[in-house]
Amino acid sequence: MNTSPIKCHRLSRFYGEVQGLSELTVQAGPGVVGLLGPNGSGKTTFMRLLCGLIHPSRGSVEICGSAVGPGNRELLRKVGYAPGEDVHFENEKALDFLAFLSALGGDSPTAARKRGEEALAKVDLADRGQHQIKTLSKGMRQRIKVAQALLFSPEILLLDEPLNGMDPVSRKALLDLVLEHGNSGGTVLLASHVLHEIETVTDQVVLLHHGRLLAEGKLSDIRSLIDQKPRRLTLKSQNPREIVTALLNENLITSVEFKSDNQLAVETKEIQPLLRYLQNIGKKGGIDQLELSDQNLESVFELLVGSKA
Amino acid sequence: MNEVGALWRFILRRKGLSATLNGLFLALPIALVAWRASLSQDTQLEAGEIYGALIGPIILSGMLPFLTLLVMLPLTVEPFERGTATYLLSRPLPRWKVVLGFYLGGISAMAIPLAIGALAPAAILWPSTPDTLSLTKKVLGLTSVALLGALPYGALTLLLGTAIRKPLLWSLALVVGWGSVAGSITGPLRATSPHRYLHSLLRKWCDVPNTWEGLGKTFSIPDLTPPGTILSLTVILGSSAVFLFFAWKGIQRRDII
Repeated sequence: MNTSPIKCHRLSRFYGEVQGLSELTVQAGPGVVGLLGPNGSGKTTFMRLLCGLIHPSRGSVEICGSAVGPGNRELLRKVGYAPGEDVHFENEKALDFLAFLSALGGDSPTAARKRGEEALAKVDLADRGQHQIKTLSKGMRQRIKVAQALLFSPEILLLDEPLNGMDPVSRKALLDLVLEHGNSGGTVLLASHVLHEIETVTDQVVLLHHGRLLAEGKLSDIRSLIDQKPRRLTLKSQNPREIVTALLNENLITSVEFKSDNQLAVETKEIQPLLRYLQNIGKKGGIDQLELSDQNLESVFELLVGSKA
Repeated sequence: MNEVGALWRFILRRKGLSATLNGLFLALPIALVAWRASLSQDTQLEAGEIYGALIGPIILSGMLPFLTLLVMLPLTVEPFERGTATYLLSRPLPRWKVVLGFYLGGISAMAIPLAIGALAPAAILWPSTPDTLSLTKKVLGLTSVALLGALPYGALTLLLGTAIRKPLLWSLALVVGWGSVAGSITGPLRATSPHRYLHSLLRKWCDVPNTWEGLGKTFSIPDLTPPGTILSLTVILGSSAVFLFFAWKGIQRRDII
């Protein structure tokens, strides 16, 4: 039996002629799931469809077995959504804002205030409750958004690029919170366009590109695909021609490009032996600088889009 | 109904306590009364006439539409344009409660300056009025009509704000054009406009004669067959309910993009 709390089937959303999301069939959770994609890939559209803020043009969305729609607002008690935009009721105090949103969920004024205080404590902002939101730093504002998503201890957390603008300490604290929620049986859909952010908390990813599902599953599987692709290295040396001759003799590279008198780029299918070899040369002072193209999101998309094409 | 109460308080706090707006609604009618008082003896009106012929039309045809556009329209447009509606509509509350909370909050925010505008001139007129009972009746009558006027126009603006992406022109056309202007002049649209029924109540509750004198004549061409109180109340309350119903329909379909 499949118990994924998030299910959507052939989900599509168009904005006039523009395709926001197209034919997305995916199941996600429980646990932490990374929603990866460059800007404009449909991450925000997907999240808004999940919490009923926009209506699908086609297809269906289910949260915990119930269809999302205007007639099923109680379902939203199970979902907490932190939007990606830096939008707030600027003049409100942090605690007043959270208490107001709690009251909108049906709490009495006293209970709403208590719930707001608890949510602030969860994001380490207990001492900022009486500060106007407009006076808070970008990172703190991000945490306020997460706090409002946590208000009703939802089963499913939808966090749209929550780490933007956060300092390293806050980042770590938020990722710990995400992990804790995922490990305690909840589901977190964490949207980002930075692969590294997602990697620190989960191996499960959904990759979107131009509103379409590009891949889903384990990030490690996608990484192994990347490893099969030739990797590119750029190095600087005082004697580049000697190095190239040695690498060709050792059969470690598949192509070479001289970028200047002392800089060259090489491609290899076996990165580890090449790195070991270059390390040895480097120890002898033969290499001034070495740059390995990053296995970042762009290269993942390049690879996947290329393989689909 | 905690949710509706929370939204109502939130909106009232943000929109209803504007010192500038309330100050304007305090100053303008007082200035008008002072201006009338400064005229020569033969053109002066007695206090009751001032309420019926001057303050009433100014509040109904000028301040009410102005206030609707100034308070109710931003109230519904801003959250969608700025994106803060995300926080409201991702809460576990039915959208009819959102509409009701917005409406009650907006109406309350409009009620404060309207009541100030209707009541303030009385403070000046009272000492010089021999028939204070009659003046009190007119003051309370005008205040009631002004507050009743906020109901359909508030609901109409809420409907436009929730159902249309750029509602400013529509609001101007409907609140000012159809409401205030078409409802005050002779023509086929007069019977459809809430203003006709508000004017009718104003005449009945403020003892304004059907043929208005002085300044009122310029603004309002007499309605030769004014509707009765019951019909007027039915139209005002009924149209408010219909607008609210469609506002609920509008917000159900509304996407937060």
